Amino acid sequence: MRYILMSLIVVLALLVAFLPGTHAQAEKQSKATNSEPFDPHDLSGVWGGQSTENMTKDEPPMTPWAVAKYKSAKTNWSNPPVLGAEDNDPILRCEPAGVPRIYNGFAHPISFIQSNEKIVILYEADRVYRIVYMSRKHPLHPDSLWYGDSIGRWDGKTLVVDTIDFNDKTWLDRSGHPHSDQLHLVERFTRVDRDHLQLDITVDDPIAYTKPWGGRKIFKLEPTSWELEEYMCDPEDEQKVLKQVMVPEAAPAVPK
Amino acid sequence: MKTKLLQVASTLVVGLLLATVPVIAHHGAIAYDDAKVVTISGTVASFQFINPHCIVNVDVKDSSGNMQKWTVEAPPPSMMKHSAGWYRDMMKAGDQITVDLHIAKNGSDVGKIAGSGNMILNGKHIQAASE
Repeated sequence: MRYILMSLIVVLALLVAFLPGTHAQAEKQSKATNSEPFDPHDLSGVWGGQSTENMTKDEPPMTPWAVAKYKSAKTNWSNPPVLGAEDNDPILRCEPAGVPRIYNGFAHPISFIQSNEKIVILYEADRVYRIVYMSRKHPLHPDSLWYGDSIGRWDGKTLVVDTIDFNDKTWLDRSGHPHSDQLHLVERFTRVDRDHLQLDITVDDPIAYTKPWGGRKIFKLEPTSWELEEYMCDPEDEQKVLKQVMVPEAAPAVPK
Repeated sequence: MKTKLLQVASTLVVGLLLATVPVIAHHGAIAYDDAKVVTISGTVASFQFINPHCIVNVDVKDSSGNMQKWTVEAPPPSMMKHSAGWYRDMMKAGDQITVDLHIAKNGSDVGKIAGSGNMILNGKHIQAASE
């Protein structure tokens, strides 16, 4: 009896081990927790997989100045949501997304080019690049830039990108949370394992928010066959597509 | 019993497929019914491999023989290249297509491609959208 029982266990074990689905699952799991060695200071490769969600589900601590601006933002994701001609999202007019909006509403991958003096962040979305200067300070005279002035440093295994000198024309996220030209943005990129890059974003803007706030994005390392593709906003194509798919007449009655 | 098992398995598979539908980023999708998948079959009238979204225009004959002109929205070309292997001339006018959609809530002939749903082009299964 005992022999029969043992034989049954062995047969079952073999069956489970060689079932194609089980094997694939095990392979997938091993990929999900890839423990291969990696250099945390090497950010090369194409990083995708982040969500398009806002940085946080909590309502940011807005000042009255920001609340007034936020109320004027009309989009599918504002409260209440709007559709069609009422939608005043600047990216629908092909205006620059800015940062951190480029992470909040786009799910396109990013990539890095690194040297000792600078790290260039490449964004597939809108074919944007940002230069992070690693060995200088911010300029003495502030500018008014869509993507600000960025300097960086390594804090252990974390690349810290510090950005100021923004204009106030972009939204922080797809819901239309605003910022002023006093925005101070800190992005902390950490390669938490070989295949995952964590980005912690902090928004500090005393004109728009009563205290600093932010959120987290997770990117995953894509296969080496991935390249950044072209995603450009062409006003003519933009309108052509929107005209076909925005279906304003499809707007359901939105509860206030 | 076997039939019942198959039914349960199909429900699970469909459930899993729906659970992996990707978010289309550029504009919101409140006009679409994400809870429901509708399948359309017809003839490709045109394929626009453009930003911010790929568009497939499909002529579909309804049960009374009337022609409906459907507009099918998909993620942008870059996303479709990365994850689904789409390319500019993969579809042309006259091709036969069957595709699962989340359609406009008001019933107009516009739909958003259902991420991991079914898509058949000239008899061949192709990946519908990025995952």
